[in-house]
Amino acid sequence: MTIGIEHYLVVSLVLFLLGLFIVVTHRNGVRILMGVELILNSANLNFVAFNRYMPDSALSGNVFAIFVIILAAAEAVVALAIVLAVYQQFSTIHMDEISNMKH
Amino acid sequence: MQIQVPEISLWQVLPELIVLATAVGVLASDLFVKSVQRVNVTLTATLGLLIAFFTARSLEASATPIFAGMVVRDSLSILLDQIFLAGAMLVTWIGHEYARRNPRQFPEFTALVLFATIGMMVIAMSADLIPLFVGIELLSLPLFVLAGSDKDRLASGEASLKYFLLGAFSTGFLVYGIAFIFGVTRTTNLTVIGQSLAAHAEATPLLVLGFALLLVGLGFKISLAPFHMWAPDVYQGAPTPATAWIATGSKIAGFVALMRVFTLPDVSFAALSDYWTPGIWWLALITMIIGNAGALMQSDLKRMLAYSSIAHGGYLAMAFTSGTRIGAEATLFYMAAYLLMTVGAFGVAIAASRSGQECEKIADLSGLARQRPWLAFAMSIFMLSLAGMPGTAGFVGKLWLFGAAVQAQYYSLALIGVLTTLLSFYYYLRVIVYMYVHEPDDRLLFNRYSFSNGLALTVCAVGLVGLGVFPNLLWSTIRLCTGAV
Amino acid sequence: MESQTHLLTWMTFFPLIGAVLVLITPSRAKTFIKQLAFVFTLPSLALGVQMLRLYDPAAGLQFVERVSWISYFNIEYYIGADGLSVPMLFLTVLLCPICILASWGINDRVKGYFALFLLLETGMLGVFSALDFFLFYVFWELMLLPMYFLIGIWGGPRREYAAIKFFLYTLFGSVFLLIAMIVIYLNTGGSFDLVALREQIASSPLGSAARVQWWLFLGMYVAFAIKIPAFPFHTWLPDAHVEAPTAISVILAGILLKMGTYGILRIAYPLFPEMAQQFALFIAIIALINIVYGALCAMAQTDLKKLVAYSSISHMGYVMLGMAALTPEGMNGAVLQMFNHGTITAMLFLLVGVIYDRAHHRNIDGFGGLAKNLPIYSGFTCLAFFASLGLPGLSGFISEALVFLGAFPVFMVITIIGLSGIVITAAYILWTYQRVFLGPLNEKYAELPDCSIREQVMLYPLAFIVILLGVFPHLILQIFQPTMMQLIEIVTKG
Repeated sequence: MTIGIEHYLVVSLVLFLLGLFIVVTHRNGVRILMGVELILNSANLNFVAFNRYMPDSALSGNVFAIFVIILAAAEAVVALAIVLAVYQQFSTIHMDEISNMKH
Repeated sequence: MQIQVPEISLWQVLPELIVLATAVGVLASDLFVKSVQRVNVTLTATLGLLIAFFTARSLEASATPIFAGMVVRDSLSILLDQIFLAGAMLVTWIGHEYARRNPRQFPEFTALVLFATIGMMVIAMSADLIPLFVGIELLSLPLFVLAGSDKDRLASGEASLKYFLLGAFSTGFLVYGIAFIFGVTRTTNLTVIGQSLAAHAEATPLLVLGFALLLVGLGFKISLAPFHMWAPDVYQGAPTPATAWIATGSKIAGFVALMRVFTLPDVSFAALSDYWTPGIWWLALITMIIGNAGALMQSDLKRMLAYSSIAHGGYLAMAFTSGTRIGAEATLFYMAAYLLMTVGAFGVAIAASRSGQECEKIADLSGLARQRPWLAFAMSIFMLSLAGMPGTAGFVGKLWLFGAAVQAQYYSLALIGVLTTLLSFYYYLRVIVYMYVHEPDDRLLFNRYSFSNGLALTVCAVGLVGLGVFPNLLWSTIRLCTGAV
Repeated sequence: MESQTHLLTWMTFFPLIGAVLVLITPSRAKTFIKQLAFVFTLPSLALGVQMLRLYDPAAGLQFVERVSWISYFNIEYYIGADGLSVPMLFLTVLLCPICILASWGINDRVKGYFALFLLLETGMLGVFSALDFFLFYVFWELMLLPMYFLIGIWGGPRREYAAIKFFLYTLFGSVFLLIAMIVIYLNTGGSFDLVALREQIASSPLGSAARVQWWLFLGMYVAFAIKIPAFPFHTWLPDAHVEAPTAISVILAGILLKMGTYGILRIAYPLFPEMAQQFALFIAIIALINIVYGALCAMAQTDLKKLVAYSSISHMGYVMLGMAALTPEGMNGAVLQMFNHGTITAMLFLLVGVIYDRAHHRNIDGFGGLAKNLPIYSGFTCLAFFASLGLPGLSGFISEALVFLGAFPVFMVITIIGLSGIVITAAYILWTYQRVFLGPLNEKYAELPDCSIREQVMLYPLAFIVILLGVFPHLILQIFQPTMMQLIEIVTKG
């Protein structure tokens, strides 16, 4: 069996759905963050896979993936800082307990 | 392998660089100067923004992409740069007042506003999905931090976390969607995508999935219903000047991104408008209804403004759906008007504080007219403009938004828009009633507001009335933009 | 005919200059603010008189000024006056100084009150002089705002409810106007020119789209009917009147209500003449309901102000009936009734205000025998009451007679039933007069002072006009008659 682009796409879709599942079902801030990272990486996988299977040697897929990785790192920094700050205030990072505004 | 080094024309992105330098300078000043004077920070930022503003004005528009096709300095991007820079200036000014009571956030506050502004400007000139994505992130990250910058209030941390998680989540959608679009069209360049789609406009499932995900991602950023749930909490919880910039700059930038991706003729997805218009049509409809219905029930001023901002996103989306030139013009005009009235409204919310107590409830404005007549008068102009009263820019803008929808034969959409506008008068007027009709309760007096805040409010109010009576002032520039693309 | 004098512009914007001056006056100088406001209504009045003198009934549109405003959208600052607008403009500039005098008792937030009042005057004059649809709409909405505040801040106990009700009703209507405006604009290739629009519509796709025309006319009708106020949109009126301060009631009944009928005659009729004919019967039926229902409601009131408010609804029914008839007598009667009702009802509200200032209530049964001690007051009231019920020799009679004369050949049954309105009106007015002024004197009010000089100055001009037009109606009829004949020709030809 040769590995074709479909296989990559399926793997990436599974990753995306897993990430989505985590974001939707979990209420822990850090876990949601992990889910988001999964989603971003599924997209990265897509980029790289598409780029690999393109006839002309375009680079933008790879370039895009690199940008996503960089920005995901930056996001993680901000995220952890925010989570820390919130934890200091609320002593929890459970989303349902972090709520003091009237809805 | 030969790598061609693309031509680097830095002077074309000079405004962005100036803002960057100002932001870094402001941030670094804390390191080198013992005690940073707030006034100096605000003055520096104002000066930098002014220079950037006039640099942007003096740039020559050209439709040829630069930086290897990544960005384009067309008249649209130049106009938007000016709008963003002016907005950043107003936010800096109202933030100056807020910082007097919360000095701990200075000067990082100003620097973060400037950093976010760069992101917006990058979005405005994107000709490729890569800078578009980078711009969105550049804009979002500082705003996440800004939302949480008031460490003394629990709500601020909560707002920050919620904003971040939903923002990151939507980024995931965005990127995943872009990946599919890249897979199908083999490029991330918007012009090339447009050409290849125009050549064979075929909506393969992957492509449809791609731009559906992109739409959802951007829908989160501009809080279109049903992706709006984060907005009220974030707007209410974040420090007010940050809210002002989230509600205006970020939202406008989101619409600019939509514009760059979806509607500009001969570029991007315009060829497939049959597929995406119904989507945005429904989003606009739901957004108008949910935004206005939500705003009706609020007693918290910032929360009310949050829902009102959602509703205005719906109006913008309505004109946007039309995909016509008049729709694009109306959207641009309304963006400018929306910026002025929303920043102004939040500015009043900052200024109308009493000692040790921020203005939170609408009822906190009771009796403002007696003690601070100019504040109340300016707020009335903002509220009336938001509602769409003739004589203000909000009316002219809304009129052409609806006109664009009618012209595109979206009668039901225009009708819902008009009816919800009618509804909106109720909650906007309620603010005015509190200020003018209700007597101040026996509480403390309102603080004196600072010069910078007064200036910002005056600029907003005068701008709104000026554009309301003489819309030509802006309209002629806007026509140039849409004529060029 | 292009005017070189900018008469209408000055007339419209003089009060606005006054409003700005009032705003920059320190709020402590209360009397000075009142005087300033009064002085700044006078130039408009003088210009109004000058306009009456210069107006040439045979020459059609006059005092025209036309400047491009928002050129991209073909929006112009286009104003002018014809036979329909001249009486309304004059009525406005006449009532405004009187109302400022009637507001002399305002002592709370004086600055805001008079600034808003002057802004309101500019808005009203703008509505009556605009010939550009967009400009008309801008003034139409602009006027709403000061009115809202004037009721909402300086009104009676339930002022907030009344103000928001008034505001939302009118706004609801103007939304339809807005939609109609946009649809017309887009279908005529971008025109807001009310004078040229008729032909532009006829030659556009709209001209043959009867269904669309029907909807547009209905939309405009609803917008204007709310202002009139025509049944079933009338419920805001009694609330607004009861809560509004006296002067604002006068403006409301004297001028704002006329804008509804003015809008129909100025915009809806000429733009869609065929629809005007189709809707004639419908409007006549609504008019009948207004006449009879309004009069019956008035009869049931115990609050003097509410009684006058309902009588306004009834009297505006005459205007609509005359309009619907589309005959020369009917149309001229309608416009004459608009003017006459403006003066008569203004007197009535002023008189209610005078007694309310003294007795602090308006309960009809709470007075009695006032004629004995207040001869001047009862004299004015007597005159206003009789003018209102249509006594020959006073102005109300002429217009009502004309309306019924004009409507009779067209809507025979409706007119006959409508005549009962006159009987009911006579009944409630005489009954009210009897309860308030005749009979034994209520001892509580034995010491009430009679009308002051200021109050007499307010009332004399109106009384003079009511009598003058009762005897020489042609003085004003001749102004608008040619315009009305032209309008009838347009409508019946179409």
